[in-house]
Amino acid sequence: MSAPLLSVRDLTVDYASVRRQGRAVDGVSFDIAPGEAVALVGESGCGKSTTALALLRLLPDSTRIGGSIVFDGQNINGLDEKALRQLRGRRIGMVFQEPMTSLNPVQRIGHQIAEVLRVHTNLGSCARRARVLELLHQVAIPDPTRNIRAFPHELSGGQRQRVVIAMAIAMNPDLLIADEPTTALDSAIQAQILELLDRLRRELGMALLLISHDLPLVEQWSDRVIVVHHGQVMEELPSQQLFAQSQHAYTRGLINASVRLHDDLHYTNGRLVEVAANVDPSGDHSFTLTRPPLPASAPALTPSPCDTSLLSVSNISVQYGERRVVDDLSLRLGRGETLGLVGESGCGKSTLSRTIVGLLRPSAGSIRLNGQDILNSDAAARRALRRRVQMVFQDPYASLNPRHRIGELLGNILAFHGERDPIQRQGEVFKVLDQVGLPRSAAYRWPHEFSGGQRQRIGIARALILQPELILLDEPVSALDVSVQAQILNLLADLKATHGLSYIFISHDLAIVRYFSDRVAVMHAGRIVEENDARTLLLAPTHAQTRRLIEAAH
Amino acid sequence: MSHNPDINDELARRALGPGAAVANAAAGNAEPSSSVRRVLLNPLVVVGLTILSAIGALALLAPLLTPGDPLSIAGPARLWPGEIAAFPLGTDALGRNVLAGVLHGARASIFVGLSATLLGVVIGILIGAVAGYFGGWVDDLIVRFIEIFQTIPSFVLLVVLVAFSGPSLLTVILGIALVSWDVIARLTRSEFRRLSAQDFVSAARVVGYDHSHIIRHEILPNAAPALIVTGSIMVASALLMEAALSFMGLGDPNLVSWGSMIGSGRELLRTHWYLTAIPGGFIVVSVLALNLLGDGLNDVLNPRHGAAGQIS
Amino acid sequence: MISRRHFSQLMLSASALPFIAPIAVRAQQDEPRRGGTLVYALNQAPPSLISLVSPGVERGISAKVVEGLLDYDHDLNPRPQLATEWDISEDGLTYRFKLREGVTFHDGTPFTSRDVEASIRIVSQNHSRGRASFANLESIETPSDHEVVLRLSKPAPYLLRALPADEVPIVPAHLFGEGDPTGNPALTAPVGTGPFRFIEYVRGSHVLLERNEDYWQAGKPYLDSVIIRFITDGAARTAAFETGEVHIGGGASVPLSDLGRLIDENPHLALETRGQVYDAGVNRIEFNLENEILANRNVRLAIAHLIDKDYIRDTIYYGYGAVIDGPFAPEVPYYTPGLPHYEVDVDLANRLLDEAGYPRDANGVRFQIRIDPRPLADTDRPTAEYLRARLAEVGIEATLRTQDFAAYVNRVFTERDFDIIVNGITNSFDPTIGTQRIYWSENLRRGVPFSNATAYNNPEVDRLLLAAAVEIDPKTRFQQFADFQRQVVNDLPDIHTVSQFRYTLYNTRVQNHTVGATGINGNFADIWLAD
Repeated sequence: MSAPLLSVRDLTVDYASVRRQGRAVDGVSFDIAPGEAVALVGESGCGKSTTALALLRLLPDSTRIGGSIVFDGQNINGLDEKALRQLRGRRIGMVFQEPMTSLNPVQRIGHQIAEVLRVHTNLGSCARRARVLELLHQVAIPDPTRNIRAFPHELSGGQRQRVVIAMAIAMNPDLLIADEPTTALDSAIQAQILELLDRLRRELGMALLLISHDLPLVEQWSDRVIVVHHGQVMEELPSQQLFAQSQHAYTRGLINASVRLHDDLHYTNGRLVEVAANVDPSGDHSFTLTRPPLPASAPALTPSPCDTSLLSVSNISVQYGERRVVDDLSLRLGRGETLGLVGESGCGKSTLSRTIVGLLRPSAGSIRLNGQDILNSDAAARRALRRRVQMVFQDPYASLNPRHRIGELLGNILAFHGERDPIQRQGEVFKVLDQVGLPRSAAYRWPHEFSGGQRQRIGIARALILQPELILLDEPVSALDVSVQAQILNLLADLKATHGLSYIFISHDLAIVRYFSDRVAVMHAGRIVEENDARTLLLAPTHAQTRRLIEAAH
Repeated sequence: MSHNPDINDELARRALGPGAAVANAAAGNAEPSSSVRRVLLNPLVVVGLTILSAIGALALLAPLLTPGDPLSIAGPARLWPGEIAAFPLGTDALGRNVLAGVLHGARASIFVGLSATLLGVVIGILIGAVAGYFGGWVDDLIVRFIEIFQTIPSFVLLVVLVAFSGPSLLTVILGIALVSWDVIARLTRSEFRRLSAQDFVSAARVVGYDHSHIIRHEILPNAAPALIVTGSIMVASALLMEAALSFMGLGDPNLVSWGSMIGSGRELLRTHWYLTAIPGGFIVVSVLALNLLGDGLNDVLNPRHGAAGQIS
Repeated sequence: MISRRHFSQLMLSASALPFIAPIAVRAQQDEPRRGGTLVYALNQAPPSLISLVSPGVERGISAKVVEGLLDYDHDLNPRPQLATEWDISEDGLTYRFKLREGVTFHDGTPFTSRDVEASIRIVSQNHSRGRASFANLESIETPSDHEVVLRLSKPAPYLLRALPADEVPIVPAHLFGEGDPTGNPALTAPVGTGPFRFIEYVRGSHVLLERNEDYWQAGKPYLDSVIIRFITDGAARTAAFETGEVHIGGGASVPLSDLGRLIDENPHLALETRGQVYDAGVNRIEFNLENEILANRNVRLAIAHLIDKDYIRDTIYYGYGAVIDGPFAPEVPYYTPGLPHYEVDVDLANRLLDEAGYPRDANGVRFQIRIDPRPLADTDRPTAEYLRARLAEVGIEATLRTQDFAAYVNRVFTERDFDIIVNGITNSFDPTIGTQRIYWSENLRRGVPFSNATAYNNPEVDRLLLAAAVEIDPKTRFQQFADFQRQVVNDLPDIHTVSQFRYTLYNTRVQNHTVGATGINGNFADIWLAD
């Protein structure tokens, strides 16, 4: 192995601001050789992004950084601000997760890329323009001569990320740091962006530090994987060995908790593995892996959608102004069935779910629950029907009112629906907290005191407390870490079994949909283009859109 | 990894502008119980509150410290402060005790400032909440209505209102409320628009809450910090407006307020400057304290400044 | 009676009537010097520049351009102006004027008796005070171009004093022919026979006048031009006097609170107290006698015993005034000293209120009352505040109401929705014109400003006023007014407090500015500027 381009030794980062305190990175060491693609993988809060920011010294002044970071012979920790500016952008490029916020919304993209060149080079304006066009071409922006004058909002999310990449590689850096570069994007586009990064890496001979939470992704797109947990490196191994030969319990846990498309696992025949991290008094982490058993009482469900139809949506259309987002769509859901709803972002699946729960009103069509028309019944009947359809939202942070304790948050719902007796309410709240696996003391705490997974349990408790028949799950785990995803999916599967619930499960992640659904509907441009039982659909897709989704997921 | 769905990022960006990317659903980080503690730890708040409490205490104790009618002729006219021990701050053009004036005047000024603000805030919240929550043509109509108020110079309108209806405590309070509600209405509207789009409001609708419950229990508590901050600044401006009205002789003539003291002392500015300087000093200090308080509350409560970006 | 130190120095030579005292003349130079521009400040910009249809601020400007039939010395003895000779018949019903010959208006037309006829007609029909002055006018005759005869139905013993330029300006008949004179453009671009021609009027800023080279009084005026500036802010006027930017001012030039300091600190500024007869007035506290409580004389008497007029003069008027007990200012020729004076006596006031049947309740309050001070004067509001404080001492709870001038006039004289007002009144040149309107029972007329607001009705007072209005014997008339004053003071429909000291503030460079009874409102023909 040649001399490393980047050598990190015993890196520690301590936050000491009002908002965040404590050690985020705890003795991380790794090397990156020139042209190598290395992945830092781990769950939220593990310190991987902090590590990336530390490499560029982009952390707040109140942060204390220890250890050494040697880039091409220079210790970054000892550099002054001027030398750092020389390094950033010129020799080390960076791509962040959210392309929109990396771009200035009021400046044309060509100008923004040219600005990088203006700061770092002596190129004249004509030469700069030529280079910008070249870069846009390189990152495969269609029609560069036209799009050079585009504003960020005129581009798609993927195109915006391409522009950000163009800015990062403008100076032919030796190292490109990409921090969750595709998390905010659709899976189909994810693959394209990663392909682009890989191609650029080879063409430009630069090293790539890829930061991600996504194991299959890093396996495919990096040479070497460094698994991080609690600010410490758990394991470092070549990517090809990640799934097959990883030794570390944590890594194994993550692998088993995540669902892959070709796994032949279904919620009816097995639960997902849950990984639990324990910190012993000496500060070391130990991990236990458990696969919960199927509930003994689980009714053998083979729902028959036709004769016991719970929900029937007929010919509904939903419009935002002139734009028709859901277009003459019909679907049925049997009692006890889980319908997976997949599609690219913007296909109308969220709009459909919001229409079913009554947040939006369709411009045409009907929605029946147990044969009763929800839209055209009187207010009292509509309210009674509505409480039987509940929803779990994607973002567990935004969907809980920060101003209510959990007890109020849940109890108020009962009070509003006529439960006058506070003791009775409290009993109900405790019961539902038990059901979602939260301690009863949670009732006295505020939303922000909980982790993302716990919050999602609260969100599920909120949906459960009115004892609904149908729950719409709108990307309920896509904002959660892999290990937490497994817990939530297991919980949802158990609740379904014990309460006889029906789900409409919306996700962009086909593997999860395949695991969790009885039947899958593929949505495209406001319509359902294909519908079948999960296994058949994925094995023998008939519609082009379905094939595209499956391809992207591989 | 991020826990922000697109919609919140979108909103956060609109609110914050570029560069402030990672701030998460900010209000979500505010812990209601400890926010009181954080408020009380802010130095600006502490200084502001200390000054205001001191003034408030003087106002409350006014009848004990200077018993009797502050408008009574207490002694010789135009005594300088300290000239006679009985009148530590001197006497005014008619021989009224300046100390009694500023103490009792604090009551009037604070009362007018608080009640006019309260009224303005209530009106503003009602109108702004309806506009921001329901949107559509209701919103358009209300926005036009607010714009009418914004384009009229508010103090001119206030002078006309008070002059037309005859100066009294009630008309002054109503007048100030009527020219200041639009600020709160605008803020309430934008906060309600922002918050209405949040998932927890959708969640509230899904569990069946009606509009009034959602407005009162879900959105308002989250809009409250911004409203409180603005409200504290509004008290200061109400206080100044009352002073300006009284200065122009449009205050309640049966009530001594700081503004009326300045108004009647202004003629003697060249010879007896203390008659304007003393109540003027109280106004300056109070307004300063209210602004400090507002700034402090803003630092602590306003999500746009308070939230930490979480870095993983 | 005058407490202020420097003011009493000015008053050294005065005894009974301090305000008509001659001023100490400074820097008297022997020969008038021609040339120069006089800057003259007024507090307000008037709607018109001549006092043909109303007696407002325009009186300060009018006479410089447009002259009158007569002028007056400081004792109100008439002097010729456009009339050279005059004669009153024995019965007081016929007034004959001989007019000055060879006089032309600024536009070149000769001045004749037809101009006098037209002017008097306009004044007698439109001018609020002129209507009273010429109430008995039966006909105007013009036997020749330079002769005018006024015939009256009843004697008008005041008429000869009613003819100064600022009361009855003589305008050219051809400019004021037919039609409503109130909208006539010549009101804001006046043409007259006076020593100065009108050049320009920039609204809100100034009026520019220049010397009339063809003035009938050879050699006058001495000034090249006069700039009349309108400065509405008192502090700004003070500053303008201090810097010498303004030479002379009309009306209350500077706030009373600034006056003493100004004279003390600036040797180039001085006060003239003469030439104020036409503007002398009294400040009063008026009771609404239709109010059940205030109809009781004992209540009014109690209030009279609470009011310390010396305090009002010294504190509110800064000493610039005279305590008075009756309806006439000391300058008025019929002023009678020695009227009944109600001493301050709080115990007596309490006793009177008890006797009147208004005992204190549990809170110590006898009854509630409202006070409306006139909004224009800086002195009326403090007087009302003082009154409220005094009333509070005997258990009368008073509420002040403030409003703008139009609202005040409407509330008091049209709605009659008031209890006590703090008011002022100009005595004018004769009680029949300036004072009768306040006390005459038939002048209780809704909607007429500054009429009989109290609803005072005493047949004896009515009789005295009506008799005096047509009495041509000065002695008898003096006695009638003396009896009238005594009766009013006894009845207490109002309480007279202070007659405010009026003055002209001037730069000592300005010579000969006050040469007669009209003072600063005169024609400025004699003014010259010293070095």
